[in-house]
Amino acid sequence: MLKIARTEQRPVHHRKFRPLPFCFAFILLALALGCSRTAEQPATTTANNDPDQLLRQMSEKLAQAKNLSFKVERKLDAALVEGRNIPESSVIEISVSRPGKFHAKSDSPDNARQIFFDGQTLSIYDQTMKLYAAAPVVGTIDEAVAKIDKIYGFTPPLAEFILSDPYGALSKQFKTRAYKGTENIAGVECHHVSLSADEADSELWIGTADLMPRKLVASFKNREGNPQLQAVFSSWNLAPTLDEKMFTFVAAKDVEKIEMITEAQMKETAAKDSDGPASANPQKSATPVTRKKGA
Amino acid sequence: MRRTNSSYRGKFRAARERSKTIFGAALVGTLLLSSVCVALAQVYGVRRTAVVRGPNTTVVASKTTVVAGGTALPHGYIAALPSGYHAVVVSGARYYTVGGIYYRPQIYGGRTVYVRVHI
Repeated sequence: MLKIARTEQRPVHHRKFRPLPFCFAFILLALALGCSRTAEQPATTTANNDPDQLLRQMSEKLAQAKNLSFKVERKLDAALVEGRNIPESSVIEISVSRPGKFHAKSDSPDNARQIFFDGQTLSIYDQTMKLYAAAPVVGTIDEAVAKIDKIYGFTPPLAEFILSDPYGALSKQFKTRAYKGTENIAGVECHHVSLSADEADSELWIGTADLMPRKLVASFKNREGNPQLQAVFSSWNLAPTLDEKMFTFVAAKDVEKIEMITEAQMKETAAKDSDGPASANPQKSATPVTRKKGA
Repeated sequence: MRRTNSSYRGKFRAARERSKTIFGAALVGTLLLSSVCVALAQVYGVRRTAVVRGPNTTVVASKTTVVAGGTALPHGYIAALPSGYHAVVVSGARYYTVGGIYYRPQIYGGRTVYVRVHI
């Protein structure tokens, strides 16, 4: 009887002991999730004077919005405008439908253009010249931005703010962060955060009440004259009603499709231009002209 | 008795293996959670300056590279058409011409650029 009793007790002993490794793993998993969840605290938490915490809270609020729309008044110094030597002022309206759609409309005194991304196709529409180009780009906004950046050598305006993790995108760039106090930007009380990086030093103003970005000034210190980008954010809407059709470009009859040049194609052209023999053939129809050797 | 003991040992080992798997998954999850973000070659839509590399791929001036003016387009490309241009259609495609020079529009860097062509 005693033996039977012992054999009956053994399984009980093992059953008590067996869950320990699971508990250990579970605690580790919970700790890991807990650490990552510090970035998911409600954005309404009172922001302290920690610039990193402010960036995190701003990022969380942007990332949590399934749909969002905002407006940016952007000023670029001449040195930052590709291929031109004049400053550019534009008003940009951005609409985002997570995870895979965005639309940006840019209006400047001499040009109006739009970028459409519907999860399958990237379309760029030059409204002024009635021209457009389209390229297959499949994926989420994050994937699309990365692909466009890599293949076509640009990103949608201020793309850092529409990614799924703005904090991750911004914090990767910055080496140091400093809190500069509160200031009033266009009637909104803001935290002023200073961010320093190899490429550009940035001043960012984040609303004290809503923790949304309100103003950004970036000085590109590796360029002659330290040219600046200034962006004033407004009209934040974290729950807009967006028509799904707005993310897909449909060309009108008088709009002509043109080629979208990749970064690799342009580099190849530049290489031919700088040290290769002239590839232009004056006899051939519509051949691009590159500089002749020694010219 | 022996059978029972070995069976429990087997179950204990299996449980230990499972816990190892869960621990591994937790560790991988933690690493992934901390590394998901997009690294871009642009800063707020502005192209980063080029990194200057010397022999043996040593970075010699990545922090002090000074780029004069806006990012230049290759020879033959212009960012805006000269004033006085007009559109012409050749073989069904649109070109622009001014002063006897023809340009074909293309999209590069999210903007329209114009490449000089011979017609």
